[in-house]
Amino acid sequence: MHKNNFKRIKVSFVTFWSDNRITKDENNRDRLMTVEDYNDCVKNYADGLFRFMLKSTRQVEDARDLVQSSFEKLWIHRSEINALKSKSYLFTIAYHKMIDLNRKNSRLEFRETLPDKLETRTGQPRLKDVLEKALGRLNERQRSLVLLKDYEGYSYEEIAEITGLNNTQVKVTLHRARLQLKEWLVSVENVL
Amino acid sequence: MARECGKCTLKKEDMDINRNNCETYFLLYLDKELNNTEQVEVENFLKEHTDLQKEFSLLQLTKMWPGEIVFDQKELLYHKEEKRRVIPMYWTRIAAALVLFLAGTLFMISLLRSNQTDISGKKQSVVSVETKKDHLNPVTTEKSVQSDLNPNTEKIPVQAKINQTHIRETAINGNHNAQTTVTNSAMSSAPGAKQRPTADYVGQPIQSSPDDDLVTLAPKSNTNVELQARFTKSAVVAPGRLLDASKTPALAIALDNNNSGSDVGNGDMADIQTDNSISVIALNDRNKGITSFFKKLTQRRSGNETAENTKKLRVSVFQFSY
Repeated sequence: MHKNNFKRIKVSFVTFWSDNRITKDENNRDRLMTVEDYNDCVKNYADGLFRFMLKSTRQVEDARDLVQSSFEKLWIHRSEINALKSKSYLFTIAYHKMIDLNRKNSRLEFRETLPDKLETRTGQPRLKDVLEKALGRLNERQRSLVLLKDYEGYSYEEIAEITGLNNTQVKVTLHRARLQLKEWLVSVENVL
Repeated sequence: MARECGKCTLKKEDMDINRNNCETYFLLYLDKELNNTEQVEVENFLKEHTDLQKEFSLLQLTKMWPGEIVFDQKELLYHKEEKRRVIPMYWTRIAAALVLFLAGTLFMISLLRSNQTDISGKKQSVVSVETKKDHLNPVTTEKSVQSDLNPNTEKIPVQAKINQTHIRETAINGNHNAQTTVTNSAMSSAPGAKQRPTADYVGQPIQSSPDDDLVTLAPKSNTNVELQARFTKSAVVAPGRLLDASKTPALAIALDNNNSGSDVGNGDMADIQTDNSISVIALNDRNKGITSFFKKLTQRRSGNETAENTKKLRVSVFQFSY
């Protein structure tokens, strides 16, 4: 518990330092969030955040609650947040809320309660289902990193800021998750 | 040799891709953590090693593709723009406010000044002195007071210098009803009391202490004064009394008998600066206006010292309220 709090503090510090560094370099972008920025965040990031939470928790209601509470916190602290860092801040809040919720409910096991209909862009619903199952076999950290990387396209550094890990930990964790997914796909090779 | 990755700050060995480390480069390639040069090197490596393309394809399949998942409660998250009403500060409004403020300030100042003048004006209005000269009485060196407090109306010699005079109480009740209890060693003495003057203030100049609250009256002649106070209780302050207005708020009557009314200046006091005038003064706690009035009254008597007959004065005392 204390370790987790320490990590959060570290993340906040890193985020704060990073924000300051960016704002010093780019004075034109040094502005705090406005109501319009917040509404833009809702418009642009609500779907992605909900998807991230849904894939992480596998519970629609939990995902909705997490999204709402995350945006609520973003709204409260909007006057302290750099507008350019709003997305990172939002996902950081949501990530830690999700961790707290999972630990609170002792939901360490991935629950197979995915929605029945999940549309995909790739047109490979069968592969999609297999990957969903494979994703369920990953641990919480690996799953979150994979989702942040693949769904949101964050870099290792950004993921490190969100999750409170360092870049090497992110890289190693992600690579191990990929290899596990690959092994899962190979084990069900008949699917492929 | 360690160096930093093209996009991220990861440190890794020089781009020396081979069969042992190709998997790491493949993952970095899929995660888009390589710069353009490194990406080209990986692609060239794959072209050279076709047997590793399947491995690369399997890793590529592990890439998750986001589905069309929509959060259907966005409307709950939106916040409306906070429209703050801006009240412009027009110069005309500011100027009008300043004018009103200054006008109010001047009005208050003028009101305060008028109050001060009213007090001095009331002195004249509330004090009414009627004098009657009795030239038939010979000039004596004693003063006598005839008061209603003394039913016998016996002339009592008054000390020119009163040793112990205390005005103990002041109570002004209602209009035209002044009640003051006076304990005067001279007046409170029973008829027939034989107290002789211990000093004579004839010719003594007027004394006025620097403090406004202290006024000294001095008689200018040796004439006798008969006082008929029409009120049952009144304070009679003999000449030469030392009044401390700060300590004895009272209604006081100052006796004088030697003002001819021909003094120059102090026109506002002319009506009561008659011969043998009696001033009726209401003293209040540290009221400079009253004391200054008292001073004026006393200062006018200088230089008009005439030996006149005993004068019989009738004093009307009105309430002095402020």
